[in-house]
Order: sequence, then structure tokens, then C-alpha cells
Amino acid sequence: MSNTDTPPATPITGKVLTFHLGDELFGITILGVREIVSMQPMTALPDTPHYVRGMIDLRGRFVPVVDLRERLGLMAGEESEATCIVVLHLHHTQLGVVVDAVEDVADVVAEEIEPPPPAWAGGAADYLLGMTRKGESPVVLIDMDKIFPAAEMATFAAGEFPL
Amino acid sequence: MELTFKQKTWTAFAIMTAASVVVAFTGPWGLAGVLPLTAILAFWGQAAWRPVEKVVNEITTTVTGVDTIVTRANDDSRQLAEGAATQAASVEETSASLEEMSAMTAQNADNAGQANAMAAETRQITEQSEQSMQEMVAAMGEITEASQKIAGVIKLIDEIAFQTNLLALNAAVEAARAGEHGKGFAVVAEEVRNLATRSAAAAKDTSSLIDDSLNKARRGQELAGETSHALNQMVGNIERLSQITEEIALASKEQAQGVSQLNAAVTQIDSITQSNAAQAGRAGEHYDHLGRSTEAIHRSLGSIRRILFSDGGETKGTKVAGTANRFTPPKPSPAMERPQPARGVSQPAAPPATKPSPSPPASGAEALFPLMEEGDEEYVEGF
Repeated sequence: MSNTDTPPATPITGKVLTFHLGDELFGITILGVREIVSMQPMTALPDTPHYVRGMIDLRGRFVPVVDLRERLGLMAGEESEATCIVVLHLHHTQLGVVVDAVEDVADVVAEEIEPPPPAWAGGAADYLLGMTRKGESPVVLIDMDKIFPAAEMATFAAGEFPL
Repeated sequence: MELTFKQKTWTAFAIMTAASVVVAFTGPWGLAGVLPLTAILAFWGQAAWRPVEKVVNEITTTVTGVDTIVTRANDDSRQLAEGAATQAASVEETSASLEEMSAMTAQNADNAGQANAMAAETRQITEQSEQSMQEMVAAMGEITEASQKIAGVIKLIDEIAFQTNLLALNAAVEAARAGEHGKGFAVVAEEVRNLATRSAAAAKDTSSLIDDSLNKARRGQELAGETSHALNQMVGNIERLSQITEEIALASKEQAQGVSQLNAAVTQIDSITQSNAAQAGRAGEHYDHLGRSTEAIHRSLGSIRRILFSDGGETKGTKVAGTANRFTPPKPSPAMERPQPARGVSQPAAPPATKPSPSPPASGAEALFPLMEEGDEEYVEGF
């Protein structure tokens, strides 16, 4: 917790789902993860933000899917066979997030979490929870709640959003 | 009335006899009448000699001319004989060269035949190689097919591993959400994930092996293609080689024919050369005889002169058996060796100086041509 201006981030302990976006490893708490499915055809949604890829049919329910790379401002990547959709439970509704590859479900201990580099302070600071390591690779821990606030989700998702 | 010499001589003899008788009967007075007669006779007799002298000179000149001609002809004949000798030597050299050529031609034809046989063998080997290569290419095609099937299966396995991984992840998620109760399930999920990882790893290994195998098969096909190309070129070269050796064989045959024709021509030249040399030799002999004959004529003329004019030497360019005009028979060639008749300066028996000896030469051949040889009679007949 580097920035004293922001409220203290939710400490992550326990299981973390790690995934790839390009060459980078990111991690999110497992508690928000509903399931992981492989890529499937999506129905386009008109009049939605640019990072919204469309909708998938998940056992009868329609789930909107967003491109996390685009949302985070990373370079667009190519889809491979490992590309999957991580279905999150967010703001009382479900949201699919396209990731390049799913890595692992791992344990993270609070002591191993380092504060993010100061260069990333700024706009990204609110959803960056810290850095840790998985083996040799650094893992950037992020908070999905902050990346997709309720107000933003209202623009493309169905459901009730307590504002 | 023109009398012959003989008649004149007999007439003169008769008159003188008559005159002697008259003198004997009439005494010194008859002498006075006989003296003018005698003067007339003497004058007449002298005049009678002139035609004879003239004829003898003519004969001498003619014979000298013949001498010259015979000398020149002998020279020519000698040159001819020498030329024939040189020609014979050249003919021998040519013959030898032709034999060499013949041998080389035969060898050429033989070599061409061998080359042809080897070309045929090589062609056969090439065709066999081609066939083997086709079989190899077919086998490699089968390998590629099988490899591709395996690759398909591998891909399937890989997909299953992936899906299994996802399932395991989902299981882990559920286990995590179940908290304490999900711990056992989390372990199971972890093991499943391990299995999936191992499957994926095995699939990846097999995949890389299959890729390697496919690459090798493809490389083998490439090599087969190159080899096939090279073999085709070889076949092309062998065809050209066959053509060329056929041409060589044909040319050798023609060459052999040409050589045998040349041989026939050379043999002909040889026989002509031999006959030329023989002829030159015979011509030399003829000139030899001519020479001896003219020498004999000169001797006879000398005799006549001595008989008629007491003159055994030169008159109007006569050369009687002079050494400068002798005919030395030439040596035409080693093969044409002819005996060299040695001729000494002939000295015919000296007859009495003033005695008129009108004996015709026909029967006295041996006497007048003392050094004549056996075979010369035929040449004397004409005189």
C-alpha cells in the first residue's frame, strides 16, 4: 500500500488466479471467479464501449464479455488456442473477461506482496494491489472491482446496480 | 650415165688393164696415149671419193647426234629410276602409316563398342535407381500420412488436456469458494491439473517428435526429387553418349573402308612404281646397247676412214670412241642392279691404209665389232 491518498486496498490472502495478458502475469482473487470457459463465438452488442467484445450464452444466461487488454490500455494481442474467458461475479452480475491464457490457482501470502513501482502511480494506482512472484515471474495483482466499477458496468450489463 | 662406185672401180680396173695391154703391145708410144687416160682416171677416181667421204661425214654427224640423244636419254632414264626408287620408299612409308591407321581405326571401333556397352549398363543401373527412388518416395509418403494422422491425434489429446486443465481450474475455484469444506476437493483438482499438465507435456513432446519426423520425410522427398532430377540428367547424358558412340562406330567403319581403299591404291602405285623402275632399268639397258652400237658405228666409221682416207682421227666433228662420249650405264636403284659392262676404248683391227676393201660389212660383223656382246646381235641387224 504505497499511496496514502487512496483508501487501503483489500489485502489479498489465500488463493489467487493467475493469468496472462501478453507476456505479463496478472492475478485476481479467486473469490470473484465464477468459472473459466474457453473462447466461444460472441454476439455483438451495439452502442457499447469499445472494450466490450459481445455476449456469450452460458448455460442459458447471457453474459457480457470484455477485452481486458483493451480496457487496461495494453497492446492488442492475437487470439490463440489458450485464450479463455474468465467469468467473474461482479456487482451482483456476471462478467466475462478475455485473457490470453490461464496460468494457475496459487496461494499468496500477505508478506510476499510488494507495493507496485511508483511509475505506475496515477490512474492505475486504484486497481493495482501490488506485486508478487510466481517462481521467477512477477505477478501484478489487480482488483477487478476497481477496473469495472458499477457505474461503468451499467453501460453494457443487465442487472441492478446499486449506485 | 652415172655409175656406182663399184662399177666405176671395175671400169677403171678394166681400162687400166686394157691400157697395160696396149702399152705392152704398143710399147712406149702406147704410154703416151695411155697417160691422158690415166690422168682422166685419176681425176675420176678422186671425184668418186667425194660422195663417199660426204656420206661418211653425214653418218658420223648423225651418229654423234644419236650419241648426244642417247646420253640425254640415259640421264633421263637414270633420273626416272632414281625417282622410282624414292617413290618406292615413300610408298613403303605410306603403307606403314596406313597399317597404323588401320590398327587405330580398329581400336577406335572397339573402344566405341565398349563405351556403348558401359553406357547401356549405366542406363540400366539408372533405371533401377529411379525405380528404387520411386519406392522410397512412396514409403516416405506413407510415413508423412501416418505422421499427419498421429499429429491429429496429438492435437486432440492436447485439446483434451487443455479442457481438463480448465475443468481443474474451475474445480479449484469451487473448492476455494467452499473454503474449509473444499480442501479435499482442491487437492483432487490439483492432481487432475497435474495430470492434465503431464498430458499436455507428453502431447507437446510427441508433437515435436512428429514435426521432426515430418520434416525429415519432407527433406527426404526433397532429396529424392533432386536425385531424380540428377538421374534424369544422367539418362539424358547417357542417351547423348550412346548417340556419339554410334557415330564413332559408324565413322570408324567408314574410316576402315577408306583405309582399305587407300591400301588398294597404294598397292597399285607400288606395282606401277616397280614396273616403272623395271622399265627404267630396261631403258637403261637399251641405252646401254645403243651406246655400244654407236660406239661400234664410230669404230666402223673409223675403219672406213682409215680404209678410204688413211684418216683414223677426227673429221667433221667425229668422235671415235672418245672417253668423253662414253655411255656409262647408270645405277637406277638398289633393286634394279644391273651389271656394269666395262668398256675399254675399242681399237678395231687396223686394216691396211690404202687398200680398197669393198667387202660388205654384213658378213663381217664379228670382225668389225670385235668387242660385241652376245645380246647385241639384234641391234646390229638393222645396220
